[in-house]
Formats: sequence, C-alpha cells, structure tokens
Amino acid sequence: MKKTLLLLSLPIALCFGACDDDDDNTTTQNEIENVVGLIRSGDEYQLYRETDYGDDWIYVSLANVDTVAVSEDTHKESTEWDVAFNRYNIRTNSGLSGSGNGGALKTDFTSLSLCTAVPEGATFATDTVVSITASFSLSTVTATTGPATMESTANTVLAEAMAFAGPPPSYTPSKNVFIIRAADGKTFYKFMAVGFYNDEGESGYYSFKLEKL
Amino acid sequence: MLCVSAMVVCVASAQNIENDSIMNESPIDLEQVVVTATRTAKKLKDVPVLTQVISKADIERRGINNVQDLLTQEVPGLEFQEVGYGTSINLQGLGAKHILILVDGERLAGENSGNIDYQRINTMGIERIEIVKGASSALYGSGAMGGVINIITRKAKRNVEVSAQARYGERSEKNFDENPKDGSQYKYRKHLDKPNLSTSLSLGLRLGSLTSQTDVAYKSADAYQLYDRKGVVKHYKVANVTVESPVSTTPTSVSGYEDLNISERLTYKPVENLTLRAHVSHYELNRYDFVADNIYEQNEDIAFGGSAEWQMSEEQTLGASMHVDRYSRYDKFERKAGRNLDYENNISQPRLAYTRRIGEHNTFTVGAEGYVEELYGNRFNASSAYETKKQWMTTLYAQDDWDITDVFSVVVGLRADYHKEYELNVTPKISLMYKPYAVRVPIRWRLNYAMGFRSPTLKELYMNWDHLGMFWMYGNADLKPEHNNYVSLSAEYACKVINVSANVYSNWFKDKIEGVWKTGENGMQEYHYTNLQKSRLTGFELMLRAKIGNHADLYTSYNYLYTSKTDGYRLTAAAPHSATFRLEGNSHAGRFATIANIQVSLTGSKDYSIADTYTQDNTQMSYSADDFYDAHVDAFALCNLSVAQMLGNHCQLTAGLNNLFDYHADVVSFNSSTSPGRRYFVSVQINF
Repeated sequence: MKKTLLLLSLPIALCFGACDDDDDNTTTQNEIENVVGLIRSGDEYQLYRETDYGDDWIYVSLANVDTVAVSEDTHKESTEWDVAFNRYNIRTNSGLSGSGNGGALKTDFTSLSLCTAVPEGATFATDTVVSITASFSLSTVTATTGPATMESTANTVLAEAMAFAGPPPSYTPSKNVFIIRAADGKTFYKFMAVGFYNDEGESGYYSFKLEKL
Repeated sequence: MLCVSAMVVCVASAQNIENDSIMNESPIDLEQVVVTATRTAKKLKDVPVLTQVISKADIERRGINNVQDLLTQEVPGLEFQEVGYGTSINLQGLGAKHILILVDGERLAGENSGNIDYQRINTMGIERIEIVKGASSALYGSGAMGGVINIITRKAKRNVEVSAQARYGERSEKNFDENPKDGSQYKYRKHLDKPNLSTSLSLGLRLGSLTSQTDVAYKSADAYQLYDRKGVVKHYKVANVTVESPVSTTPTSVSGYEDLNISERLTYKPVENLTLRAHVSHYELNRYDFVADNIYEQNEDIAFGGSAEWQMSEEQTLGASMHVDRYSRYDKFERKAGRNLDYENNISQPRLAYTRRIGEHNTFTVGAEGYVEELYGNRFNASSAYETKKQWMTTLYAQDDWDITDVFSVVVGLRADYHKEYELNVTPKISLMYKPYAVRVPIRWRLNYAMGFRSPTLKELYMNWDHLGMFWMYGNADLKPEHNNYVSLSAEYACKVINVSANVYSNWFKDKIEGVWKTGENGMQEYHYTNLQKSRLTGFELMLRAKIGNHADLYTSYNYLYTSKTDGYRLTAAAPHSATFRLEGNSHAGRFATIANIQVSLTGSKDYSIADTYTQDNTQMSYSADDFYDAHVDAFALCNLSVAQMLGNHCQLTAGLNNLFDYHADVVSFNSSTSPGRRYFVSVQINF
C-alpha cells in the first residue's frame, strides 16, 4: 500500500508548489506547559501553538477552557485536565490516559445547537492504546513503514473529529458533533472540530467549538 | 463511411467545375493565412503540414469561456483531467510535456508537470487557434514532439472596435448552505462558492500607423467535489485475484478560482516597410481548494516583449523579437494580509530571423534564438533553502520552402541547439506536399518526417527534495533530451460542400525521461530521473466538415490510437477510439440570425494497467515491475447544446446546456470526466 501511495503521490512531486511542506520540527517531550490559554475568536478556540509529532500534548480544562500545567510524567494522576491534544489525536481523562472518568461519544448532529442532551443509553469510549506518529523527520522514514510511529494513549472516537488524507497531507474537520465527558464523569461538553491550521497555513493548530451541554 | 459517401457525392458534383476553383472552395476557408506549420505566413491550402484552425466564430457562437472546453470539443482525442496539482492535458496519448502550447508563437512560463496555466488564455481575446499535430521541434524546439497548439490573439481590423461580454453559468455545486460573517471559515466558504462568471472587455484602435488592442478579462468559478458511485474493481495479474473495493467516500475535488487578465498589444508602422510591435500583459489567478488551511494558491504573471520586422526588399525580411515571461506562485494567507513565495519561473527568449525569397518558388529562412529559463524555489537542496537554478540554450535553424513544380512542394528544416548541460542537439524535418490539379479528384497529399525533442526541465535536472517526508527526489544533470521520430501521411479533399482529411501517423519515442525507484540508506525510497523508456504511438485521424443544405454545417472527427506496450502492459490511459461531432444550424436571417449548435465528444472505452501492490492477509507481496492491475473505463459521451441569437448588428445572446445528458463517471479518477453534470449558461455579447 505504501508503494501505491508513493506512486500516486508522484504527480504531486512533479509539480512545484502545489503542496505545502509539512513541518519537521524537533519533538519537545515532557515539557510542562506554560499556561498561555487557548486563543479564542468568536465561539471558536484554537491551540496557542502547534503540537509536534511524538508525545507532545497540550492539556486543557474544559470548565474554564484553558490550558493546564501537566507534564507527560504526571498527567495520568491529574484530574485537573479533561482533554489533551497532540496533532489530530485527542485524549480524554479516562482509561489508559488518565485517572478521571472522562470519555467521548460521536453524535449524528451537525450543529452544536441541535445537540441538546446526552443520547439515552449512550456508551462513552474511554482512552486506549494507540499508535501515533513519532516523527516526520526524513531520517526516520522508511519505504516499508512510512513515518516512524510510537505507542501512546488517546481516544479513538475523538480521532474521528479530524480526518487526515494525503499525500499531500490535508486535515479536514468532521461535520459531526462529539460529546466529551469531563474528568469528573458528570459534566458533558459538545465539541466540534473546526480547523487544524494557523493563519499561515501551518498544521498542528487544532481549533474547535465547545459548549457545555 | 459517411466521409466516403459524401466524397463520392462531392466528386460527382464537382466534375464539371474547373479544377483550380475546386481546390479553393471548401467549408473551411482554405485561403486564410496561418503561421504555425512553417513559422511563415502561408495560406491554409498551401501549408505542408495538416493544420486545424478553430476560429473566433467557433468560440463566440457557442459561448465557450475557457480554452479547455474549447479544445476538448474541437480536437478528437484531446482531454483535460483534474489531478492533484490542477489541470492536465492529454492529446492522443501524449501528456503535457510533449505538447507545446504557444500564444502568438511564444512560450508561457509557469508549469505544472508540463502543463501551462490554461486559465491564462482569455478565450474572448482569441482570433484563432492553429493546431499542428506531430513533431515540430525543428521550428519550435523543445517540447514540440506530439503537437503545437498556437493561440493567435485578436488584432483590430477597423478604426474602432469595442466588444464586451458577460457570461453567467449555473453553479457546479452549492458547497455551504450558510456562511456566517463572523465565522473563521467565512472567506474560505465564500471563495469555494464563487459564482460561475466571466466578463471581458476589449478595445481595438487603428490610429493611422498605430494599432492598439486592449483586453481585460475576469473569470470566476465555484469549487465542487465528485463522489464515486461504484467501487473500484481491480484484477491483479500476478496474483490472478479480483478485488472489489467498497465505494470510496473520499471525493475528487475540483478547485474553484478567480482570475484577472489584462493585456495590451501595440503595432506601429513608422514607415511602410517597418513594423514594430510591443506587448505587455498582467495576470493573476487565485485557486481555491477544499483544504481549510487558511491559505490559497495565488499565481501572478507578467509578460512583455517587442519585435521589429523590416521588409528590406521585396525578397528579404529581417525580424527580431524578445519575449519575457515571469510566473510566480504564492501561498496567500486567507485570513490576514501577506503571502509566502512558493516559486518563481522566468523565461526570456530573444529571436532573430531572416527570410529571403529566391526566385518565384523558393523561400529560405534562417534564424537564431536564445532561451534562458530560471526557477527560484526551495526544492534544489537538502536543507530546503531557496535558490535559483538556470538553464540556457542557443539555437540556429534554417528552413527552405520550395515549390518544385506547380503540384509538388517541399519544406526542409534543420535546427541545432546548444544547451548548457547536454550540449549539441540537432533536429531535422522534411515535409512534402503533392497537389495534383490535373486529376479529377484533387487531393492534397502531405508526407512528413520530423524529429522532435524535449529538453529536461530544471526540476528533472536539479531537483533535490524530500517529498513531504516520504521519499527523496533527485534530479540528474547528466540527462539527455528525449527524442522522437514522427512520420505522417495525410490526404485532404475539398470541394464546395465538403472538406475531408485523413491522417495516419506513427510516433516513436526514445530516451524518455522517467523516474526510477532506488532504495537508499535506511531503506528509504529514492526517486531518480533517468533517460530510459521507449514507446510508440500510431494513429489514424479523420476530419470531415460538410455543408448540409443552406442551413447546416457538420463538423466531425474520429481518432484511432494504438499505443505500444511496456513489458506487455498498456500503461497509457488514452482511449483507443475517440470522436467529436458538431452540427451547426444557421437560420441566415441576417441581423436576426439564430445559430444553434449541438456538440458531442465521444471517448471510447479504455483498458490499461496500473502499477500497484497487491496485499492479502496482511502479507504484502514485494513490489516488482510485474505487479499491475487492470483498469477499465467505460465509453462515455459529453453532449453540449447552445443557441445564439443575433439581436441586430451589435448584440448576441447565447444560452446553452453543458453535459446535456447529465453524465457522471461511476468512478472518478485521473482518467475520467470531471464534469459536475448538466449545467446551463447564458451570455450576452456586444460588439461595435
């Protein structure tokens, strides 16, 4: 399949500039967030910086929609955060990601206002082991395996909020509304992905709409 | 059959007419002057290479607003496909790299895998298009291996000419039902849902010895997405397994756009035997894709140049010209000011040509040319730093056009190019024409041999790029030009009611520049350019234009293409059979004439092979050249209908339906129609 991808992507290579280069920054791991907050514009929130490949997570508390200073070493014990972002992977404070009672659910609604209650009998997915991209650096890319991956934890339902396609890489937000259960297990939030790019077209800047349910 | 029977009727009706007048009467104006086949002005009936001409009237009467639709409808076997990077041309099995598209004989900078930016062609500024199939490198140099499409722009014929046109088309797709102004996607949604609109304004002036032509054109179109209706069925040859995939949910996206084109052309004759020309144009294209990444593609072009033609005596002409074209592409920020340069491509082409008539029957041309191309971009080194790569070529060419007898003429040409990297390259051509007036069935016979070549592009020479972190692409400065040998024989018959031509050709390619996979360090894939492949295309083409009674004209053509196989596989996705058909009815009611056109482009079914990897039970078979699956695309027809109504001498209303039968490809791929379906348009044109 990888070969097919290589062949299919060839015409893209032959054109000069139809595609954006993806970022190739060094991963900063185990860094404690300096709380800068999320950038708010209208009813949308965007990560204040791009997240890198590897275990570079930005932890967010949904009660005040702000970042939380949690390190990679301590996040599992903390119930201060509700969700965390790494590229298009999202953690909830649940399952293998955290000690909270979080989780996520995908609805069929396509607008936040249409979603007014948690559907009866809904089952929230908790976090499990997932494979994330460790690095997009060329030295780690091989023909047979593609970019290097690593084991981490995340919520597989919320992974559907942002669809990745490529090459060339593109990230398209899902039209569905998701419901996130906060770490306390009692508070619910409506969540809708909006975008994945900053104003200069660089990827990794997750943006979303959020409302308390 | 239709042609043959029509010809018999025609011959019978022509028997009592003087042969000489038979030769010059035709539904096609054979007396019109064309310039592409020999690069000198010559009547269509006398050109030694069969030339197809699309006239201004062909465009205006059908309300066509882009060159892709126009060429697809007029040239059999010509298709445009929407691929990842934009629009890609295919003419009878040949891709963009082997077809040369010129505007007034000049090349265009800025390319996508060999494709020019087709949006740049303002259809309302076209006087005619000349299409010469086959190799013409002896005259036009690199790239003219499969055909030359020369777009000739309009020049004022009267003292004051003003024309304005506006065309509105039904949208392809309404992408967004709502677009709140305070939403972060406001501009993105607005751009994708641009109206299908084109407007143009043109002013021609003749002020004594000065002629001016000013054209302004604006176009916009909405973006749309096409979804597959069936799953892809792949039959893997090696594994002998047929796999049917579920219907793909990933759409094929066709970008929207808006563009603005402004051009000025001046001609000045200070004295009777000296003609000075100058041209300048500015063009801007914004292309809007579906990726909501807050940037869109912005392209800008500035072209200018000038020429002097000195009629030294009745026998001698000396011409000099210079043309400069600079094409730039940017990532334009959608939500704030600013943009990042992606690449810039400059070409400069100085020319010198001396033509001398020797006696009554011999015209000798000798010329010198320069070609300098620069590409500024960030894909030439491992650190992705921006740098400029440059190539240049100098050329000497000579051509002799000799009417040996009244019925037999020959054109011989030879070109020598000296390139910065690969040094000397020599290209010959010879064209013979036989037009026996003395026989009852006057057929013009044309026999051509021409060599063609394509110089490696700057990317093929110097690329050094990490392809989105997936593999490395390496250019190769040792590349030689690709070569081909082209032979064609054609016969053209014309009388008052019919013009029919048949052309059989063969095109042998060698040293084709291809990418070869190699495994480098870390098992990483590398893509290296090298001169490798051979291939052969053989074809037959039939064109018929006929007058049916006083009120109808039939334009039809058929093309058969045979492509050679590579290691037993047909890798060309061109259809073996293709045809175009157009019937034009004209009420000939003077100032209130009605002209209706029904046009059909038929693309026959095609079977070809695509290299792939077959995967089963998670055991991936190792890749080899023998891993192919069969692809099949059914025959399809696209039908277009238009009606033009003249309202007095100065106004024309046109309305039409494109894709009349609402054809949709079941599986949308690189090789199928990307029509959004049946859509109407209306247009109004005013001429003074």
